[in-house]
Amino acid sequence: MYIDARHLENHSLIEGDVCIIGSGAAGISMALDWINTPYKIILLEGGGFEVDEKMQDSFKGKTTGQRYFPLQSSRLHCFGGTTGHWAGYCSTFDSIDFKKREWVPNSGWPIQREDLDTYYPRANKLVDIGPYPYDLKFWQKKDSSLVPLPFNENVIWNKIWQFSPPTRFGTKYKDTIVHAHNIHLYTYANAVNIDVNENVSAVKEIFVRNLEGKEHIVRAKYFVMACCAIQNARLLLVSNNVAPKGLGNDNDLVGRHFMDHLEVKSADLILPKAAPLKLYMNDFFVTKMRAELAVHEKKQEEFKILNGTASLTPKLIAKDNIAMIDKFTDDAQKTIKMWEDMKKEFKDGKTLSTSTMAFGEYELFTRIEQSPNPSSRVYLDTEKDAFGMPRANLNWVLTPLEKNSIRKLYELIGQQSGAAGAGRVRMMDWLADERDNSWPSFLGGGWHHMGTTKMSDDPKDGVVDRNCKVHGIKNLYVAGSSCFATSGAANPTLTLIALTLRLSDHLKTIIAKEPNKRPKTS
Amino acid sequence: MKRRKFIWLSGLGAVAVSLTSVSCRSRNHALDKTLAHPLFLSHICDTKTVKDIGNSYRQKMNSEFSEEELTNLLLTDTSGKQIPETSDTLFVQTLLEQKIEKDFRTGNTVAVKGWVLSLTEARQCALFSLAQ
Repeated sequence: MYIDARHLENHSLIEGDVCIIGSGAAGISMALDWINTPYKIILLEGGGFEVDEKMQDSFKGKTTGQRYFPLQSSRLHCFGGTTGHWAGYCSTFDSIDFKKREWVPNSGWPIQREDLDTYYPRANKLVDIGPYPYDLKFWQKKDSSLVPLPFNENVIWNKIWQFSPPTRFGTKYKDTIVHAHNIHLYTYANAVNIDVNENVSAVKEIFVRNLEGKEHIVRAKYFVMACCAIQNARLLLVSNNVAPKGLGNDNDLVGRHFMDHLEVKSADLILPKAAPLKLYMNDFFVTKMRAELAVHEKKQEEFKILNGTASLTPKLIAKDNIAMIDKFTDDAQKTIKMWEDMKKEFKDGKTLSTSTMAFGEYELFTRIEQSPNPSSRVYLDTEKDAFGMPRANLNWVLTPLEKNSIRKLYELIGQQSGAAGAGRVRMMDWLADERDNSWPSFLGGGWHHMGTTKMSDDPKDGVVDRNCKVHGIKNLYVAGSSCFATSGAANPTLTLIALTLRLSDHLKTIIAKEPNKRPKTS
Repeated sequence: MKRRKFIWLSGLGAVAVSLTSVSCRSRNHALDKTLAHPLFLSHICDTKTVKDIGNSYRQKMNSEFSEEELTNLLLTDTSGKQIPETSDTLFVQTLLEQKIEKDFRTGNTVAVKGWVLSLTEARQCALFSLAQ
């Protein structure tokens, strides 16, 4: 069912069993999981079905610290959310990503990788990826030409990625959601405040507004925030009518530990003789899987480094690539068009297919986790948006650990290349001096926003518990990558969907246990 | 590739003449050439790059600035035992390759001008740079 909240009478009351705030990858994944249950699900979307400049403006905010993408275009404020311009890169988190690592401050999740194992295949399906295995041997059985570099796997192993088409949730799942009898999708219902009871132990209702000046009230038994990492933090912080520091923020943790993956060209692998490296190649929108070079868990521990990978691109192609941070505009429409243009170039045969060609030089491109750092944070500005909400600013802060880890990654790949006689690695100038902790101008993130409502069993250490429930508030949950305690080496979408499905199962369990409360079906 | 080989052969000729002229010891030219010739690197980069690496390495490693010092370090086997200067060049070449492989395998590497190199081949570059 679909309702445009602009057409409701002002101050309408919307009621349901579960209210999901936000219809991006997390919100839609959860809503889909509740179709045909006996519960009435309210799915709120602040915008409409298409990207709208006025809605994007509400995401606008200042950025300080390390150079970052424009906030107003790095997230899409419409049905489908940021899947409208994601690249479709999927891989699972590794076991080490969940562990407490003494060399990574503030690391450690209260759950382990095994807790997501049953959810990853379901997440895979939602993003239109075929067989689940992220395992090299599985793929080699299908294609014997997927030959790895001859490295010691106890040092450098091949982390498998799979590529979603990429699934645009707003397109693919619109009809399913709109026609689901128990899912009530409200567009132009932008959550602006969460109202709680006097002792801040439960959410009573939330307020939604639209640019037509209408405000409505939403009541439900359970509320799930799925607005993205920056907006989840923002909404908690602005909801300060009863709790002056904001909801879930007794320990000043909401908005802190903001993380992104560091993405940056870093080195070259030079071979003595040109060779095809199909296993590592990615022809956009064509390749189904590829491997990236990753450091073994034991070596991460030995050298006290972060988890990350290096991808390979023929130098012939990579030399002309402009860093994403240099071409990412503040116009959200253009960020969508950027991917469409790339897709078209491939279809038109304007882009070189790399998978079977032999090259002598390959660029090594880093994707590495950011260590959870409380100084890297989202906070409220004094300036307000058109809804009257203080804007969210970002101070993105990196540490020397990230740079040391990148350098070590390439030293290890260089050592393996040398030992195998496969080639030599030449790090870029910005990595050459080990005493230099500065970053090159072309360093970017993946516009992967994570960590702002960190998961921890201890309220003094995190905002949500292991079930993604905000500490101290019995019916308020958070879905998405804001719950990530660490960012892992892999892009977040697959894992945030898996985590959301886990939350969904949890909610189904507890809602079913409620005594004498007949769920509403319409 | 042909051009690279030509440059290398020319460069190595100069090495042989130069090292012989500055060396006080009586060593054969072929051995000098072998020691100052990082074989794998010669396939992937030109003489200028090797010279630059060698110069940077010598700046980085103050104690390894002389031809004699570098030669002594290169003329040790994988267990650290000194190799006679009268050794067969083929034997020395094999030995250097073994040392390089072991350097990489055991993490005995050094980053010079961004290149992740075996300590042995970095010393070969240094020796090469002395002759240029």
